[in-house]
Amino acid sequence: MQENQNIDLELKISPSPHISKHLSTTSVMLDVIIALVPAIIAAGIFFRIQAVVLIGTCVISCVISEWLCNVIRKKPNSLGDLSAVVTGIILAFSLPPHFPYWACIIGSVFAIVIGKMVFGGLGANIFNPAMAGRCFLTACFGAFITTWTVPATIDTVMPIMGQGQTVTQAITQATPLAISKEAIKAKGEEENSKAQSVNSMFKSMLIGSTGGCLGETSSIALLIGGVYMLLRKTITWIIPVAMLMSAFVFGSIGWLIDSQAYVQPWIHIAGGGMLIGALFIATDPVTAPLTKKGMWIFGIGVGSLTMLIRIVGEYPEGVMFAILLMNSVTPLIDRFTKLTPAGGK
Amino acid sequence: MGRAVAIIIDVAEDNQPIQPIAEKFTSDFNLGQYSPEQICEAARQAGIVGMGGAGFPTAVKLRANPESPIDTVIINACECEPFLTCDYRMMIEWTDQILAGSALAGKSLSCENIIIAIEDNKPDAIAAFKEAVRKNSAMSHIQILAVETKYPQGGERQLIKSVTGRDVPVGGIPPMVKVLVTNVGTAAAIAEAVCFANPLTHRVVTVTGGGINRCGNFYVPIGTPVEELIDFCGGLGEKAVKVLLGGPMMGFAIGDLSIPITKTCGAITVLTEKEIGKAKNKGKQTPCIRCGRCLDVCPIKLNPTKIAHAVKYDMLETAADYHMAACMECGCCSYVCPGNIEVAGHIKTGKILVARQKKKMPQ
Repeated sequence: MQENQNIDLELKISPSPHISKHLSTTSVMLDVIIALVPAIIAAGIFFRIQAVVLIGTCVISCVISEWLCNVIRKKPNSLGDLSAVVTGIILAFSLPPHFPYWACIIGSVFAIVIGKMVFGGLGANIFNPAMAGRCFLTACFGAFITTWTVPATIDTVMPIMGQGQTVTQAITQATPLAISKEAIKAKGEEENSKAQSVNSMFKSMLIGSTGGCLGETSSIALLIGGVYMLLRKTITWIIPVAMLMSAFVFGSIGWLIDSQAYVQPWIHIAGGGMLIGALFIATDPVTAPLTKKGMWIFGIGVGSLTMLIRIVGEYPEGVMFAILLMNSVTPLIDRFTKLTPAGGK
Repeated sequence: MGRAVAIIIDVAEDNQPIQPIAEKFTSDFNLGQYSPEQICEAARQAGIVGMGGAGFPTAVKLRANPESPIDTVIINACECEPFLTCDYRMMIEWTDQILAGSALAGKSLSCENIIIAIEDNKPDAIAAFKEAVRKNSAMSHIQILAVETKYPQGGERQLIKSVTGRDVPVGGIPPMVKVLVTNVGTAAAIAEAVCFANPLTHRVVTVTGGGINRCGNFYVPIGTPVEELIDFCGGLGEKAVKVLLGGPMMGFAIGDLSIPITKTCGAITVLTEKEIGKAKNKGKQTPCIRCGRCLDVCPIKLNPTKIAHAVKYDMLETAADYHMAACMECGCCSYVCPGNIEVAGHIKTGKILVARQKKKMPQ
């Protein structure tokens, strides 16, 4: 018998399997950030320097909040997984372009600390952190959050309005969804042409040259990002399809009943936070169900609730509330859609 | 783990080394001279067990049960575990022997429907078998079927589903759907036992991986210490970090190389850090982001992350409720996890804990 050559070698013992696909949470989050780049560029084009300021403020605030929480909790630094960066970008995208910086910071801190860290960090939170932050801002600074500026690329002769802010590069105007809401409220009136005026804005809604929150306006930019994520298998196709399909169905019902009061269904898809919600927020894996059946229920729930709020409720936009509401029932959905193993009944 | 008593059987000088007898099997193999009882008894005497890894006594499997008739015998020639080629080499070099063993297994169960299922990434093995069947008219009832190459195609339940479309019930065994599955190595051993009354004393072992100096397939006496086989292959390379009994997906990592090769050990895989991956080798696990990738890849359609975390937080009833017992420990869940979580590892721990609990409790 030959002498053992392996006495000096340290052999590792761990459970099987001993090979892997080399994925990491960081790479998944990086894919989301890359998918958000077209929308970041679009925001830069339409809202100029404000886009940079807002996104920068939110991302930096989120990152610092998470870092501080880790230090206080005496846990290892979790910033490497890039989830704070994603939260920052999405929160910034969901705010109007001229939202005050100090309010952005407050919202970011709330999103990370209360929306995520208090629950135990990434993976343990029930609510999407960006939406939790935005909800807090809506409750505290409702006026700011409903003041939108029109993109700098539009020529217009409207008078300058605003909450005492000197808006030099853009002016305020009601967003397509806000006008849609007025159309519904004016239902039954003669000469209700508001819905028609929104319908004609569809093309600009696709490109992004309308008013709205920072990251929501350019449907095409968001769709490009969405396709990237679907190809990379970063997100599931089920939630966006379920959400957009159910929203479309609801929108169609309204439109078919009264096309004067209700806008065309594709306006609802392109308008407001529907696309960014469907592609980037509702698909957040931590806060969405695990099972495929559960994802269908979740997607249909978000789409339906959004449309319910938009058409029947008081708010012109319902994505944030719809997502938060469905987040709260995700554990229940998971339990009710328990899988049967192969060969089982 | 612990220690066990081992015995060393010393064989007389002139009886060594024992060679494979594949060339004794030819294309005019006569099935008619063997009865089902003979076949069963020969398998029992030779001590044949399932050599694909399960180690179930083959004689028990081959005994026809009138209450549970078998209508399909599947010979598992898939070898889905990456890095392994022992079954493949046997298929190429011992084709007639395996064919004889397959026919004998079918005869033992009075079953004419015999299918040799091979993954389609082994076209020359498929061709070799088809040629062997063509040459021997007595084997015309044996079908050669190419199945999709996809891990874990070689898992019993997965193969039965692929070949026959039938689902083996959870907690059940293949005879419940009238199927019997046996490994090609076992089939070869059956042929040797029935036709030449040879006991199961050797098996083919693949030595592979980036961390061993010489790779290959070897005809090894059962009981050979792993370190002897490794030394025969030039010893461990300096980049070796893990030695596995078996392949990289389901193999068992060992630290003591004096362990013997058993009847069910098909490979010694020596992996380097590069092959394992830096992150996986370091073992740093990040929180579960509930991405659902493990649910997507689980062949049994379980919820691996739920079970693994239930075990981690000491909630074994929850884990059992999510069908932890049905897990086949294939490792697909850990393989795809972005968080580098030892999903399969936790589930395996859970199964052991439940088994220990059952032992302690009086029935």
